[in-house]
Amino acid sequence: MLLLVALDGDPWAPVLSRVAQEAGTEVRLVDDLRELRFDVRVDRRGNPRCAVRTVRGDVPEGIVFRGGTVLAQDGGFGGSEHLAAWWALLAAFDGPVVNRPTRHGPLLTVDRLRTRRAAGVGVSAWTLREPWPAVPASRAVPAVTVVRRAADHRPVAPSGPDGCSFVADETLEVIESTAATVLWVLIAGERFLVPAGKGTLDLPGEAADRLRRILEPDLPALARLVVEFDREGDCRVLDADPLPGTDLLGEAVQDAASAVLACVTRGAAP
Amino acid sequence: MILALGSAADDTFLHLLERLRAADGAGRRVAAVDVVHLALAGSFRLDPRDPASGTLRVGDVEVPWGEVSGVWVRLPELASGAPDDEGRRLVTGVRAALATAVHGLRVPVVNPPLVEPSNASKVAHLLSLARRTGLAVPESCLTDEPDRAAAFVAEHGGDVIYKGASSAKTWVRRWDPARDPARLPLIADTPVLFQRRVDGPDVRVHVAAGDLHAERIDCPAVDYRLAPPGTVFAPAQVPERIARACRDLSAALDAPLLGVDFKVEAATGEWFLLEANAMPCFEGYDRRAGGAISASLVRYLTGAPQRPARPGRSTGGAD
Repeated sequence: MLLLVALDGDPWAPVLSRVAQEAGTEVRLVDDLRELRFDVRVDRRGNPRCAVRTVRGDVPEGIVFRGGTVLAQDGGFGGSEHLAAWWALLAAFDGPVVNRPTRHGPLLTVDRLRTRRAAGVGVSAWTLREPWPAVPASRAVPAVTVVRRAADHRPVAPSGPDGCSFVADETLEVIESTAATVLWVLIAGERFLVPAGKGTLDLPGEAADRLRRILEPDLPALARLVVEFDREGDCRVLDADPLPGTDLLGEAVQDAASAVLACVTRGAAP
Repeated sequence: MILALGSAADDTFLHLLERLRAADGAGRRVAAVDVVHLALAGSFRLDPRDPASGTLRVGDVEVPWGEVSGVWVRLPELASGAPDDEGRRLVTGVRAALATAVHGLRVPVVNPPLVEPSNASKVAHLLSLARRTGLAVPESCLTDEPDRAAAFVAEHGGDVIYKGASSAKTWVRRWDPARDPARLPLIADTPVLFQRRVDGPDVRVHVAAGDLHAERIDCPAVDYRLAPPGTVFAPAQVPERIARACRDLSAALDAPLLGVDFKVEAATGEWFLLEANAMPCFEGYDRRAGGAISASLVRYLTGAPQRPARPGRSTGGAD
């Protein structure tokens, strides 16, 4: 049985459920830790042992964690305790897990890559109530500028007299790229997919290997990256979203879901 | 210039700030910034590719990023104290930006934020620490099943403590066979962490810029933070293996300041690792150690030359 942990409305949950069931795998969807009974044991040498079942008695062989759970979203004490328990359970579970936490955190973000000073990660800049210069004198004109709120990473449209210079009454994160090519890349299991027409293409092996090296040991089984490629073929990660939607995948969403589930069913998830 | 980023309501932040200001002889000006004040009324622009291009301003404090030679930063959760959603968003945004941005500054930072997020989950943290250090940890059981909790308690003859699973502050309690069995069904809604009680003193080891400062706490209560009458604090000797593990952990986590908690089993002398905190409240330990911890940090941040350690204060490396 596959345990799929996701909130109601999660765009991947119905796709993953359908693909898993078509492949003959039973799926249980849960959004609340209270639907499980579990214990995580740690011995004096730090070896974990984990037992988990649903309240109906089903025992999972693999877990896909989509981040959202009911109480873990509560910012209070109960929410902290439930999130801590999820983190422990997913870290200790001895079967395959999609989005298994590492010591850097439960879900991959670009901030997590920065705080562990991973090589190959793009630089952001921040501004609060200060004008952002339209064309920095010291640098090339960016081909891509992403501006988003530092509080929640929601994108905002730059505003200013010429559409480039802007100032805001809150902290903004500015990501600029002067590279020739900026792509979003969906990591789905062992595949690195880029959008192409109505579907997707696999990123060439050499580029995918570069990305794997940048992300290790935090390589996720499902995440969306924004990546810049220079003319020499080198790349840098500008952004990482651990909970991507399905909107840009078109008809390729089924293939992507199969690739994610292959990790769980093969036991090869990171 | 040393930049101190934190909260005016945080005693630990103020403690090292005071020491940094007192060490003005090192020739570094200290600029103190309250993060909430910055969020509500200040401004800054920071581009790590060109730090000299930006300045932080709040009140009468002006900090050109290019002149910053060291950073003392503590960014506890502050947004929940804001009066409304707008305030929460402003404080959250500034905190998130600074927590990431200081990692891009090429100057000494105590401590780069978020370097050890796993201690938001005590069990995940314990697994991570045991894997990294090879040190022993107390046998533990995190569960929402009353039967499994009861089985764990029985395995250890009832000599068990319990506490919360997250970094939210909870008091450690000793298992009470007269009271607690009837309360076990409550864990079905919120899991609880049970651990074998290690009978012996606590030891807090602070790694401060590579220096080790250790204190032993003998306390009649199960949670020494309650400090009941009879609690005794004294400088401690740390076995070489433990000292090396603490220093290695501090280096691996990129945390020049690290508070590492141990229990030492009285019957065997074995050390059990409980927690490593990269944002420790260290001022009480520092005062009892005559300011030795903050002196190590001030030297690190100001680049002042190392002075010989006072006898009895350099407590690492004894076996």
